[in-house]
Amino acid sequence: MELFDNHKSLYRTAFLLFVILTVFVAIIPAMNNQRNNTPLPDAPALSPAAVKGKALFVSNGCVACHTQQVRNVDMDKKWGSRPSIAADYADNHRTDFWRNTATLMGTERTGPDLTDIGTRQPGEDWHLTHLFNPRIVAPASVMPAYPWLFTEKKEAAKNDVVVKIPDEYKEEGTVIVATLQALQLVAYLKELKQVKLPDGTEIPAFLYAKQPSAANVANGTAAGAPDGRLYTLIIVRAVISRTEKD
Amino acid sequence: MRVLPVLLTAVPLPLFATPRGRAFFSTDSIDGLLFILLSLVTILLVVAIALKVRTEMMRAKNTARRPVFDTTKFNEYISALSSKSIDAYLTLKKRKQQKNNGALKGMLLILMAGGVYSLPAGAQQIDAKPSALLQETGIIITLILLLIPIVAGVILMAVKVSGLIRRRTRERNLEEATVFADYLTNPDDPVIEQALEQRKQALAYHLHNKELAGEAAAEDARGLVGNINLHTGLSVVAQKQRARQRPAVDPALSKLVMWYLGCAAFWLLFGTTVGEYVGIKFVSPDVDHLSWLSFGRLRPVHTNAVFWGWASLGMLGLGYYVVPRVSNVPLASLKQGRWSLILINAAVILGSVSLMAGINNGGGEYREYIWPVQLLFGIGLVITLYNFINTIAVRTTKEIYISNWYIVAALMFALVISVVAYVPWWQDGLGETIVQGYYMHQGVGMWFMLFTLGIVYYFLPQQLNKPIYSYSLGILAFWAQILFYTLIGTHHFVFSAIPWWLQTVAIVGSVGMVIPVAAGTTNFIMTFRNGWYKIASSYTLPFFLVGIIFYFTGSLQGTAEAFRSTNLIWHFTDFTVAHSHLTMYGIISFFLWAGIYAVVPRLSGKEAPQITVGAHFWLALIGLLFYTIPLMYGSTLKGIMWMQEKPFIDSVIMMAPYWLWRAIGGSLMWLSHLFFAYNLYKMILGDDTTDVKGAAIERLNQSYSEIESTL
Repeated sequence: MELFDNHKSLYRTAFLLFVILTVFVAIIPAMNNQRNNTPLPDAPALSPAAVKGKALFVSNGCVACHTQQVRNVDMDKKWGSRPSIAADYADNHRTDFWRNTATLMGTERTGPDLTDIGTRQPGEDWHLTHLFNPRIVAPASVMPAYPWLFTEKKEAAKNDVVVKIPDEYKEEGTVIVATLQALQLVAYLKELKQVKLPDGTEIPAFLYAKQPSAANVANGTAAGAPDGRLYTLIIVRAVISRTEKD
Repeated sequence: MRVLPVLLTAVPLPLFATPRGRAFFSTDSIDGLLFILLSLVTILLVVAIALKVRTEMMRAKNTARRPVFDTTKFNEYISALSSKSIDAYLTLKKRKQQKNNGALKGMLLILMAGGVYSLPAGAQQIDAKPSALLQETGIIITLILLLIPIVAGVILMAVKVSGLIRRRTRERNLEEATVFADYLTNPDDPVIEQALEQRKQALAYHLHNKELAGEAAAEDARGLVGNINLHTGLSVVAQKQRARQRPAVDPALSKLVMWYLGCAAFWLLFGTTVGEYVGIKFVSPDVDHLSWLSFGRLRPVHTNAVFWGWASLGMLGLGYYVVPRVSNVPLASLKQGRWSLILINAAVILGSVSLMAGINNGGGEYREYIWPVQLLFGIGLVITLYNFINTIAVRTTKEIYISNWYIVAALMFALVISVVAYVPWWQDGLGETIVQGYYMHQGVGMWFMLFTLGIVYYFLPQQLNKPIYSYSLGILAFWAQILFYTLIGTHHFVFSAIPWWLQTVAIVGSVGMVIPVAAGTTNFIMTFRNGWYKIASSYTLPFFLVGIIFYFTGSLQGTAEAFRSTNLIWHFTDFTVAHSHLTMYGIISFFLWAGIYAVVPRLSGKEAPQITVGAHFWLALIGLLFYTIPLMYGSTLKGIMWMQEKPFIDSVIMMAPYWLWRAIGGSLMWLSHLFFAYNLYKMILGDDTTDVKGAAIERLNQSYSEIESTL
């Protein structure tokens, strides 16, 4: 076949096919999504300290273990009061000349989701102690400790933020003081709160049904996977919620 | 043969009925899938029991004392026997032995049947708890995929063990025969002695096998005899075929390829050392408190180093060999090849350092290097692409061999995705996430997978010494891969805030991937057709075989994971980590090793010790299974716990043993890389002290040219 024996036409064809598909599944949807979204009216911008805190969050690779997305599935209910929507991420822009946008949605939940951590854990003390060594507040945690965000001093100065650390985690007779960086990171974590939707907006439901309970299965009454009807329902409701949002 | 009926009776009959009126073997039919699963488990069990029984037999035989003959009784017998009776006696004894064997076989069958019959009870026990899980098509498919290689491995092992037993039995028989012969030659009665002497002489008469060949040593004028094993007896490892001498490759090209592969091996060692350390941190999070070594920073160092350092350089190194070879022309520019190598190495060095220093691009996986760093990598690829196309453009073959389709396409597509992902003027808000899904998955499927397939299409037929089974299947897989793979990126963000239709397209595309994967696997497996026996005598083919098995199971596992129902359980858990290791390690790395072990001896004329190649293979394979299977199991439990809305920390505590297993498996893998590095060192530098012949010829050449120059 002529096409296959001519390297120019062969490679051009493959290249074009790939580029066209790319345009349709990546470029156009991405463009569309970023053009047709604005932040929610009540969404506050991050404070300057929190912006720096976010940079620290990025540079330490926290996103490897912490997601920032509440999916519209039942099990995600505990991570927020409503599913995340595209508008929640609309205010993320390119970080700077060197670095890309960071929506920090994440792909792995080795640690808890942080979409609404500011509501769940409003206390600065807790965050600082937790960052110094997570095992102080959660003995089973496998999160890394961040002692380099703190300094060990003989005596705290006047404006120092002293962190409550049990004696076995520090040398005797010293105090642990949070650095500016630690405070910025905590400022960012405290500002991670789900924004209320404007009045009158229907809150998108958590769509996906719970798995059948063990008792039902034992009785043989539960349908295992969600049936076709449920799928249809999910898709219809998703479409409705989308059109309302747009 | 007798196992089959046992198997059939063991399966509960109602399974064959399809009460809901659906096809038995559709993905819809849970019963059908469960049946396959059950059969696989049954086979596994049967083989395992058989193996156990046979091993016991072998041990019993080995530990049994040497047969002691009652001399007086024996003499009595002998004196009463004529030479005819000896024969009769011998045959009788032989028959008796056979009878004993038969009894054993019967016992074996009973044992197996017992095992099979006890299975349904066991299966039900397992069933009781996660039965909701076993209703999930995706999970069952995954379990089946998982079991396929295990079953294959166990069967292979069973075959090997029975072979060993047979050999051992033969040896024992020989021993007994010797003892018996001794007795026959020293009886007390002179008459019988004479009779037996005659008989012995008659029996002992045989040709001395040199009537035709003569006494002189054989002359092999056509070089037909090779691979002669002079060491008899029980060897530690099987002797494999040595690499064949082939026409010499341009030394400069050889050097370039070996530099690529050497750098790749370095990044493999570096990257997996980091990975191993990161894995340890799951078990012991306080192992260090240095910012440069904290988990969040090291994780991308590991992934990027093995991606862009190990796998990419390894592929490119093999590509630099394959592309000119199948075009039948020399490489267009060696200098450009060197530049490409330098740039890519520079990118990985700078990238690793900057990630450890806390400079990254914003957290998208495999997009952690900031653009100036990734730009170096990109320029390296542009140079290579230009070089390859220039090489192919002047090819002396009419057609473009399929390897060059895959390799050049992979380079083009990798550049496209890098440009899309790194161009700085867009990607606000969710635009970033959509592009991230696209980038990360195309990186895997369009760069690593396509390129590696191109390499396999060259090396697999070459190592089997036969053409690829079907060129057309390769072409089908090529276009189908582009068509479907491009769509599937966003299946990493199912249920998230990105458009629902895009998620659905990704899921549909993931299912479509069955086509290229099935086509590719069929093509490779069928290329093996009539050549399976070669695996036993080759040290490269096992790597190919493992790669092919994981190409099928690993890729289809991706499909199974993409469904919404399975996503619900597995998304966000360590299942994804296990999957990416099954694919990037099980497929890509094993194929690369296969190619490296095939090509480097040809370039350097030196081979690695076969025992360390074997150590590399088995440690890597066993390590990978130790790594992935516990992780998949644990993360499934984790997903269920999340769905049951247990406290989050409970799922962390629950994972501890599985993370420990992951660290153990990771350690084995890492150890295998040490062997690989050693092998590569042996193949590239080695010690040439043994090569007396080559040195002698060289000296002769030298003295000859000296004589010529003086004339």
